Amino acid sequence: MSSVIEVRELTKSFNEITAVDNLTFTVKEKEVYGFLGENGAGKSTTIRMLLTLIRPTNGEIKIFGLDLSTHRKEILERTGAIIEKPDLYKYLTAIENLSLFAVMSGLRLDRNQLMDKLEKVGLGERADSKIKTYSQGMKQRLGIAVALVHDPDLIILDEPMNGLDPQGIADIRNLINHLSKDLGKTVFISSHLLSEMEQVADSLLIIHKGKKIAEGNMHELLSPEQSRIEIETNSASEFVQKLNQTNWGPKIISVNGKKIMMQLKKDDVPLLIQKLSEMKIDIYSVHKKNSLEDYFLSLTGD
Amino acid sequence: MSLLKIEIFKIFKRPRTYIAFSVIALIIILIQIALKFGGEEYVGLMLSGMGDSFEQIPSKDILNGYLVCFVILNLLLIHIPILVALVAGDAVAGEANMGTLRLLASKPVSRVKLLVVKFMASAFYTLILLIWVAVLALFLSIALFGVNWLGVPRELQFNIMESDDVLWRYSLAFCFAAIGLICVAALAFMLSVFSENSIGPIVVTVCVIIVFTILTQMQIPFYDETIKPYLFTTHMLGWKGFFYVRGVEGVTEKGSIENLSSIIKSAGILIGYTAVFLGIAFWYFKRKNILS
Amino acid sequence: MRRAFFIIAACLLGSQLPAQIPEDLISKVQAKLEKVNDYTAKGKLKTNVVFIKAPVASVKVYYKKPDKMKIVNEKGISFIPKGSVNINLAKFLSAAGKYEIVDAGKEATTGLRILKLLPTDENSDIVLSTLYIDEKAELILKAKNTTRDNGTYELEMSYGNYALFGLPDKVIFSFNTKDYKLPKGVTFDYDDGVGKKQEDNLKNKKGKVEITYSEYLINKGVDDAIFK
Repeated sequence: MSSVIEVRELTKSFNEITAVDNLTFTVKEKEVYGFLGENGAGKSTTIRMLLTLIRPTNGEIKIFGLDLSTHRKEILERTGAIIEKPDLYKYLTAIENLSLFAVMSGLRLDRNQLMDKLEKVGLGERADSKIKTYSQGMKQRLGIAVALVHDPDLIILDEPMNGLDPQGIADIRNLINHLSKDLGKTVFISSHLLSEMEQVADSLLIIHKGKKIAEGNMHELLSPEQSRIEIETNSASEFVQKLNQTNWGPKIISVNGKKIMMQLKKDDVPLLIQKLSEMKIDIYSVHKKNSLEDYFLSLTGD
Repeated sequence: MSLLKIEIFKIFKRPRTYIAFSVIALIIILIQIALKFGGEEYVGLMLSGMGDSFEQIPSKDILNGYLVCFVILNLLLIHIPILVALVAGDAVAGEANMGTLRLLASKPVSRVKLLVVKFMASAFYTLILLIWVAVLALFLSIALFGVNWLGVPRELQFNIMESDDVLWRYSLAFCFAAIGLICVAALAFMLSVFSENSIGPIVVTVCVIIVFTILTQMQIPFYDETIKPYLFTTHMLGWKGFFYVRGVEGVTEKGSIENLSSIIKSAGILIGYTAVFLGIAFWYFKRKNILS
Repeated sequence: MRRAFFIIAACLLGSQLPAQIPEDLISKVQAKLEKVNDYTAKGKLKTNVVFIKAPVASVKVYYKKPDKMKIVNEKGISFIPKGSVNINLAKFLSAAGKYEIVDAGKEATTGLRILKLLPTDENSDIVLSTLYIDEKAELILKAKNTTRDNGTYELEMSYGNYALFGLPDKVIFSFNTKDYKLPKGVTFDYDDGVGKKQEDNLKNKKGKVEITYSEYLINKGVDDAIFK
């Protein structure tokens, strides 16, 4: 599988604040790539850099194998996006909005084609109503129609489930599955809703305060073979120092106060505990963390 | 081209666009009604004191469609910029405010192109507005008041020209007004690029116009020689120059303009300002981080 | 030398008609004007006042004895300085006995007879009228009037087809624009770099109104309504 998005050492600073810090990741073709982080973690800034809304301070973005800074037009012609809320022209009708963004994407569609697209998102009957009369869910569906109007290969969705009711969330989930599994599109989706990510994403990138803290295949990250263990000790620095002298060092994922997160095979856990007692390191507790939620909290929690 | 159509379509689909057209119609019709019923007094006022030196001033003849148009333009061309700012100031900031700018800017259309069509649409709106003014102020006035020679009051002078020596002056005056208003549009547009909501650029443009107009209008020698020649509002009055005639022994030289080079210079300064405003707008917008 | 000049001048003047008695001359001139009860004339009106630029206007001039006169624009706009329309030499002259005549001799260059008329009526607007008269044709060619209210003005007339009625083909009315009020404080005036520089020239300049007449209709009756 070739890669659709390749991001290398991407950094964005706003004056003193570094919103995105040295981020590197790869999105493969036809996968649903979850981009997870708390509000303010730098997700939106990253997505806006992918869509040329924000200029990176540093780093390189390649999409479809092309450099974004030099092949903007070609890339964006094959990309559809919903960025945060699906804001459209309230004083225009659904069909007018759709037609307008089709033209912006270099496409000229007749009324039948446009109606067809609106019917697919269940808005056929309201095609000639102004957007200001639409409910939140309808706007969301129209936003999707607009994002997909030019049949893009890459779809970027920024917090698409925000503010939706459970039915709306389910609809979006089904849509993402349809786009990826049936139509073979690549979907890049950001969210702070971990449970949603667990259900749709194939791969996952987790960022915190602009930095990558984990990346990998969803199953690997959640695999029972690859358990994450949280160890509470009296001195984390001593723990890390001592362990780094052994071959256990690379297994450390993160350190949070006195809690250390490690990734291990299940069978290795007793061996580690044995080793720790040999090294006379005091252990207060050992927890197995397996849900994504636990994992995420362990990485980002204070 | 289709992108320009879209931008124009967006402007003319908004209710606020029509506010400008109705406000103009209202003002013009109010002026016309006032002049229809109290026009002769107005002419007397306009000629301030000349009645003491001249007799049987033919107020009825002076008050014709051409003069009514002149009076309307004199009053209105100071205020139309506000209506121009309403749309041009909204062009980019309004999209930022609505949240549609991020969608537009992530489409495969370069930012430069996007800004070009947006400004062209604002300029197009300005021109349509001006044509609307021309239809109401000139043609409706002609229909209501008829035509006769045009007498133009100016500082310490009164210039009269024959009926068949007027329309070409109006055509040029409207062209000049277009340059002036597009300059205002460029100012509002530039501010619009910097702003995330449309109130800011509209208010700032209106304030700039008010302050500059006051400075232009105040006859303070200190300002007259220092800043007045550089204010674009001073040069926006250049349309009047087309109604300033040359005379030989007091007789109007038909088809003459007193000082064409001054008008051309004013137009040049306005175009210069427009270029500067747009230059800044493009320079900034190309670099702008769209965070809205 | 000087003496010689006077002799030559005297010979030259003397060779012409014998000088008429001023009163007679005035009444002859007056009689001619009296023949006209009314007239309508077409004319071209040209204003030459520094602060006004106007095209030449086509006007119609109406007159009716004794002192009704009106200039109406056939087309266009023209400004007629106060005092110029009402100048009515016929009426002035007809007020016989109300003025004293002073013979001022002849103008050296033109040979015109100069008579100064001093109204005795204290209410008369004209304080002094100096007439330059062509004795042979019995026509006034030039009149300088000093008035109480309208300053000093000058009339110059040239005659053609209607000389028999004492009606000029062309009248040039000159006056001083010193006291004239100019339009000032025009809102949003555009300074084109030329207009204002004329300000100094505007004051103390002579203004002129020139009417060239054609097509007089004499004594065909004029409706009074016109003068209202």
